[in-house]
Amino acid sequence: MRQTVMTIIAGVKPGHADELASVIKTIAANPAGNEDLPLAALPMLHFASLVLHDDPELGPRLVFETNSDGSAGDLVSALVATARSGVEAVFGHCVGYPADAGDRAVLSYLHGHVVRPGAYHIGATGRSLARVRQEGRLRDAIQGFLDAGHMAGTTPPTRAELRASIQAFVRDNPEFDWAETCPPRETMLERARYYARAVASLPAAILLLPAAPVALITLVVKELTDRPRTDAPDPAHVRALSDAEDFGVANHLASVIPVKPGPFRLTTLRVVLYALNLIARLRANKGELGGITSIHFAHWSVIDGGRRLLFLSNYDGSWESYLNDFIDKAAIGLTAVWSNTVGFPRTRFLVFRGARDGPRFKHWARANQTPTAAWYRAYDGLTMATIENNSAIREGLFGSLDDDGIRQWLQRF
Amino acid sequence: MAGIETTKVQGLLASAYGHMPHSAYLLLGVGDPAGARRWLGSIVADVTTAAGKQEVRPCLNVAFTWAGLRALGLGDDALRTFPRALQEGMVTEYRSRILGDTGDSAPSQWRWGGPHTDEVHVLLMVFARTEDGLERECQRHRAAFNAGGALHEVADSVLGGILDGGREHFGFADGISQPALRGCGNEPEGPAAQWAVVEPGEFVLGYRDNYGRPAEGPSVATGSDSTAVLPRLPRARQRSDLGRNGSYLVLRQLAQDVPAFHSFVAQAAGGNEVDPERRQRVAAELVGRWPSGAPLALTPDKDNPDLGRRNDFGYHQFDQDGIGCPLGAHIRRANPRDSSRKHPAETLRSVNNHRLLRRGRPYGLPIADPPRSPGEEETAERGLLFLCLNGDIERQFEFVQHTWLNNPEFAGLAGEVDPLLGDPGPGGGRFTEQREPVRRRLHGLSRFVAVKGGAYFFMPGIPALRYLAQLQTLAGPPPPRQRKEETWNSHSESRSPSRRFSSSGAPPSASNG
Repeated sequence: MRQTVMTIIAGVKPGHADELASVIKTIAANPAGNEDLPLAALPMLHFASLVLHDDPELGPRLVFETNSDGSAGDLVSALVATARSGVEAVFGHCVGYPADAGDRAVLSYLHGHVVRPGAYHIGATGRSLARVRQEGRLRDAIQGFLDAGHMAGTTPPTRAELRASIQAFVRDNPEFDWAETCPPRETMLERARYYARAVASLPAAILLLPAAPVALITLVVKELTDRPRTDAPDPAHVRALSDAEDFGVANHLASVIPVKPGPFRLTTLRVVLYALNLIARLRANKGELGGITSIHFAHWSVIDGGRRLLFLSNYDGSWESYLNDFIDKAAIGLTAVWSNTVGFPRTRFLVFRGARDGPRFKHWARANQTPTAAWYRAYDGLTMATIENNSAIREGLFGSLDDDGIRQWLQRF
Repeated sequence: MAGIETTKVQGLLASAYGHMPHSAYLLLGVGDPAGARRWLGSIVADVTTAAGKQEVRPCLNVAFTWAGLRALGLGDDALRTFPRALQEGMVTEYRSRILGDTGDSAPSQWRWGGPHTDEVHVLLMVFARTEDGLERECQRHRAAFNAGGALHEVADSVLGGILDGGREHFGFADGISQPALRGCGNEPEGPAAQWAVVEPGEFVLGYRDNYGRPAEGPSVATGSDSTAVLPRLPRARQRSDLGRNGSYLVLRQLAQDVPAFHSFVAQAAGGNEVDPERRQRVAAELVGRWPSGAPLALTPDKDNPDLGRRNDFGYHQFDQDGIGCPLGAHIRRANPRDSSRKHPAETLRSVNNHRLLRRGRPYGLPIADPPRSPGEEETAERGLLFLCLNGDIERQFEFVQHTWLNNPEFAGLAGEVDPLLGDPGPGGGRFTEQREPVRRRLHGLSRFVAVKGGAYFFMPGIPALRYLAQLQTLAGPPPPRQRKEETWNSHSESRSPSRRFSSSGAPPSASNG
């Protein structure tokens, strides 16, 4: 099943930034049911955010992030169909927006401002919003069935008996008709496409190989002369960020960071993102990315003609725990990406040190974080790990399992 | 402790002073900065260090809140170099949210450290072998710091004791799992090391931490250190290291509702008629250890006092599913060790970046089982004076509290928090006991622990104490705030002697010495 991670980015009209900020503030109070922009009315939308980034050089920009089922066209069409006034209220403050024009002009404006990420990760790969919710309800219902103790008797049931009774309970409940016939997360065809892309990249990789020694020397020289900026960020800035965090189980993180000047760093960045994206497609389709199990949607986009790197993430747990995961589990990949941006902690050979320097990496990350102006989550209270477990419960409910398989399945409750 | 400068580190980092079962924790406010600095100068020589064991003479340690350092006269330029957690303190809306300080545990209800109580500046910790010795020592200190209105007590002191068998009030041996500092002489050897050994910088500022860099501490302008007691900071121009040999100290007074705990356990075990063994088993599952301290992961079926102090065990190999020690048991949340289906070694390594050096003690009279006189015993307050040391409060104490203990989705669980410390919310909490063939869930947990006070402190090294004591040589420390003076005056009248708690007869428990 197709899912789309993207942003719609537009420059804010001169003098409109404050007014736009106050519009977004109203949305932020109730993003699900805002009068103009009722995001919960979009049945394909998992997470969305609005970020206002006031760039010292490039001026204020609006970043509208969507993580949805279906294509970009599906999302944009639904947005205009159900929330045209909201689109107007927000993008009306942006440069070039066709005010008072027909829907077609608005659609084409939005499409024209869509930015596809250079690399992205989807935790619930192949699971639609409807399915995430259904699987949550299924798990709750089975838990309730187990709590009620229908199987309590003089002799405890065997594993197989217990599973059979759960199967009967689910089959008896018409609400769960879908459970037996649910499609797989990804079809063979979808998987094959990613492998084909990987194979197709090989010739390019081989062609680039002769340039590697020169690139390496250039890199090492740059690494020695780059200036890290890792002093502690302004406490008031960090406090404002953390004051908005840890309501519920998930959080949002946004940053827009200048790419180091010159073609070398930009090229390196694009190559790294391309490679990471392939790895994410091939390896990270089970709610886990490099050992991190807390990410719903995360993406990097090179924007502004290569001058800025945008990062957006919808993750579980605190900022502190997310950054610790970065440092402990994913430092190599993150360093390879972010070391191409200004001020990053000193690195060696692109992937070493950098994010491993925990305290300074955290300083750098907080200093570069942009406050999220409005954030929508279709499901709060469902962590990525829980979504994954719920899927595994559903996937193991029917079909044949050996005794050890049943044992493991029963331990998921 | 060979790996660190033992003569410059306060002794609490190296020892819990188990040989000194009587202790008092005095919470002080600065009345007169110059007088307070003079007092500090007068006790520096008495402050216990990590060098050698002080057998007879009472032990003494001292720590300061950020507000306390300011009140003492430390300049803004130095105050700004403290981590945000210290600057803001334990009481902010955000921190209350992540620490679970809500409802009856909200700071507005606290006895000290809250928004409606007097600012705490100094924590003075006194440890003695006998009750009389402690009494005498506290009298001596009170006379000294009260003199000339230099400092005053802002809350009743808390008396910490040691209960039989090193237990806490719910009846379980406590303080078993402690990290050991690499190169400091007390490391377990061989494979046992992996569970405990961390770099010294995890707890002692200025030394290499688990990330391989020196743990960042506060600094001062070198010019302000006229007698050069502080080491210079390498690679920083004209800065001296105020943090070196210091640590960040978290103090929380946690009242334990022992009757509520026992009655929940009895109900969960099947009503009042059940045999004590079943009750003990339910309680042990909530804790993760048996009363003796033996971990359920090693002896799931019955207590085994021979394993009482065992700390060299993991979960991945034999108990990944939580059949022995439930996934949500207190000790498994507080230290998940290698509990990971796919990446046990990596998990253990990163878990060890979130260790706490615990130095807390029980306070209040223990409840007898069965109760001696139910009414009276149940109303008396008892609990744990939780105290831990950190190199980074956000990465250690706050992380453990928020990401592990209070996390409703910890380890694949859903909608339950730490059974002992967590806030289960209005509807009552849930606890899952993993079983074969399928789990059993306990419902109706209440909040067994209420927070009564708390604050973040900086526990300086000895040279930093000397630096703080001689701050008066500086031009222009901020004058004492008038309001505080008034507060103090009104206090000294209404609150003398300021020992209600201790004189109302809470000797530090039936300690066994």
